[in-house]
Amino acid sequence: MKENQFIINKMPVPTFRWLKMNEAKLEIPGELTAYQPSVEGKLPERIEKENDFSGSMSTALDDFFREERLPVQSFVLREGVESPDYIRMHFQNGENAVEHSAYCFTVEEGARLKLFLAIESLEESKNMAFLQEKFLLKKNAKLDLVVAVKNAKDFAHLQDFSFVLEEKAKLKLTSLLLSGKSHHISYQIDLNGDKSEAELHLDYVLSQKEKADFNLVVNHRGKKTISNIVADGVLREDAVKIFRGTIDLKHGAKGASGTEQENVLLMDDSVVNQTIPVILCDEDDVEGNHGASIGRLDEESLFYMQSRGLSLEAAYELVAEARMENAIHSIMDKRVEEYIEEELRGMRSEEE
Amino acid sequence: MAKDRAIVEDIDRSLYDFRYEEKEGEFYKIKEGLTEDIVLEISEKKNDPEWMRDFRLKSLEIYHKAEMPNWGPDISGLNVDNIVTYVKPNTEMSQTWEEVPEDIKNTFEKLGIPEAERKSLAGVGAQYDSELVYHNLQEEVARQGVIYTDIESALHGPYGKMIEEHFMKLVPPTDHKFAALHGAVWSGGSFVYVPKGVNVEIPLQSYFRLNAKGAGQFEHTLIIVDEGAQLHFIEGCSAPKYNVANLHAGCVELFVGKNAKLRYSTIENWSKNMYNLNTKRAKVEENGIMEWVSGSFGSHVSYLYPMTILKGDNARSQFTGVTFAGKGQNLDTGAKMVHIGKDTSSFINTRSISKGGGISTYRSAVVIQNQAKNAKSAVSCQSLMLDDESRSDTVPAIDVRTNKADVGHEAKIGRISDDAVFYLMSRGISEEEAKSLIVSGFADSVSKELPLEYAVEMNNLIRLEMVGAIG
Repeated sequence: MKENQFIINKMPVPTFRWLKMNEAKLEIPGELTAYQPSVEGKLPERIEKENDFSGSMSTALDDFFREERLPVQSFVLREGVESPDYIRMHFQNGENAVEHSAYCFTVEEGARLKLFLAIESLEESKNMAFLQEKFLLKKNAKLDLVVAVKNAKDFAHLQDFSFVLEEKAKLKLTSLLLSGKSHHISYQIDLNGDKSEAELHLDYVLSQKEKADFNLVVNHRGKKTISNIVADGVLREDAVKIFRGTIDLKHGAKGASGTEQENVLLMDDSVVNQTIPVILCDEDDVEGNHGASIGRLDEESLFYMQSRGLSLEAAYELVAEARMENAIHSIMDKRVEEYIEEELRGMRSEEE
Repeated sequence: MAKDRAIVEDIDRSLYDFRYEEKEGEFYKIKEGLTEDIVLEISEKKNDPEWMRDFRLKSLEIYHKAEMPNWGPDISGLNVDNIVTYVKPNTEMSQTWEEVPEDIKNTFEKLGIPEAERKSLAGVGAQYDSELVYHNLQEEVARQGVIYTDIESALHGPYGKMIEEHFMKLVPPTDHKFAALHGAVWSGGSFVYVPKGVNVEIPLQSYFRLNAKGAGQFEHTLIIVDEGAQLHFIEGCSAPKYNVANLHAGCVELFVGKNAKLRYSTIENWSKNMYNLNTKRAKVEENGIMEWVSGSFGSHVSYLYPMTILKGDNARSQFTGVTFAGKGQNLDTGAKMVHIGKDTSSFINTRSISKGGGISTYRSAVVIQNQAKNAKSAVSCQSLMLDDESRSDTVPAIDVRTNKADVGHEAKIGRISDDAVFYLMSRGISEEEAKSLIVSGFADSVSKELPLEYAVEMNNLIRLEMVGAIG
């Protein structure tokens, strides 16, 4: 393998090789440049830390970035402080071949951080952007994180996020993929503290030859930890998606519960949908659930909509639209919801 | 309510663990390991036709080049160089039980095979180590044109050409390392041909017994169910326990013709020193039906995922499986469904239970190819953990390449629900009984599909005795 090629998004437990689903390959096509987004709102206190960043996507890739001496910015939200509104970090990548940004956030005991990452690329850009973020949530800390990606049709994008949750910490992550040539997403969530919780909404609409490659790993280590993952997607035309989702109920995670539900609506005949939802269970006093529904709309819903005068095509469009709306409205913040609707999706809100 | 844990007794294996020590002169054993000379020696012993000898050598070449699996349970304790690939009892195949040598006959008597034949089977094949020692088919069934014989005889008979056309075509030696090993050293197994329109109303059965220490069993089962025909085939396996690794790398190839139906039932109950790396595959033509019923109870390590290729339009398949992993066992089981034809449907329904440090993994693949318009697939896998030393994993893969398909999947892992136990106790049932009832009920939807002919064996395997509770 060449120096700029990497195996990424490896499943914690691989399966049959012939399926070619165990991992993804990545080539970094050019020189790396550090990128600084614009920020609306006040970021937490900046602290100096050594660059020892390690992500969840690939250790070889981490080493590569370290060798390139790319900057990592670290912030800390002090004990008990709550950010009243979402802080918006606006990424407009695309000027350089490969742009890289890396952040570490520590949310101290009882603090609450609300962060919105609005990711866009310059129009017509054919480059690549790499975003690495690491979050440490101390006891009773909360993180509300919204990530929305709207990139140009030839733009490649990578997200490598990891989250460590201590006792009773809570994470709510809403991740939306609206457009872009390719998306490689790696989320690792370590529910280390007792009663820590993670709620995830992952939504994507992919069309043309767009590709999304997800690797989601939730490690339950603490007692009575809870994870709830909902992944809703719509695939059109020649879109390709692979979703690797692992709930790992480790030994000692008594009373833990992990649930994952994936719904994929396939709109066209040349889409490719690959799903591998893994539950690993090394503890008896736990619950692990997974459900998936892939394919067409169920006949009952279709009949209902058609009986109300909707054409088959309109019914599908309506459901595709509703899936994204669900995720957006779950953010529970009017400003962020409006920004996504208007700026990123080009849609007007109902009030207007 | 206290979170008591149920204790489920280990399966009583005394029925299977009896063994006869092999005496010099009673068996022919080939040298352990795997070389071209050994493969040629097996080929010569078996009087292979030329194409088969070449096939074995080609497979050996593939075996040496193929990589070990980089997924699944650890098989580093298995060293093929220490495995004796061919052990022939010093007897020819018989058609009556009286002619079978006393020791071997006693083994099968203890396992209840002749009795089962008398009561409820249309034909029986019994393999001891590497060779069939008994094969018989009811006259009435034979008169319908049904062929049920050992593969070696069939190779030299009028069906030789048919075997050449089908042998390892569904599972080519290039499939994986142990398929290549099988291609090189296969021995024994059955050939079944059910002619067009014939319905074999009572099941056929093969029983495989691996008695030799440190040996491998590589039987090949080839079944062709022609257009409109129907068959139920039962396969049973067992072995006594030794302190060295034994290997089972059998291969099952099933061809289900247009409008035909095949049910293939298996109870795997190898001893806990066995590496069970078996490959099973079926191809189903238009309107054909393939049903798998699989019980995995034995072996130290299992890799077992029967695959169905739904090639013809409207072909259907159902896989029903139960896996019980106890102490020292790592059972990696499941199924694969590949939809190619239009309007094809598949259903996978599995239950797994792990206890006493056992590891049970459900692993599957559902592939819907682009041409499989209106394909439907449903998967339901449930796992029950009976204590906190055990492990249970679920690794299902789904690959859908058309929008004209419906795929549903649900997986659940958990322990016995306190609410359910409480409910039953409030109805006057003791806690032990309640837990026992729940475990039996959990496996019931699968175990009721298992053939009645295996009642005695099954009772030993799935009767789960709850003897107490600890805090």
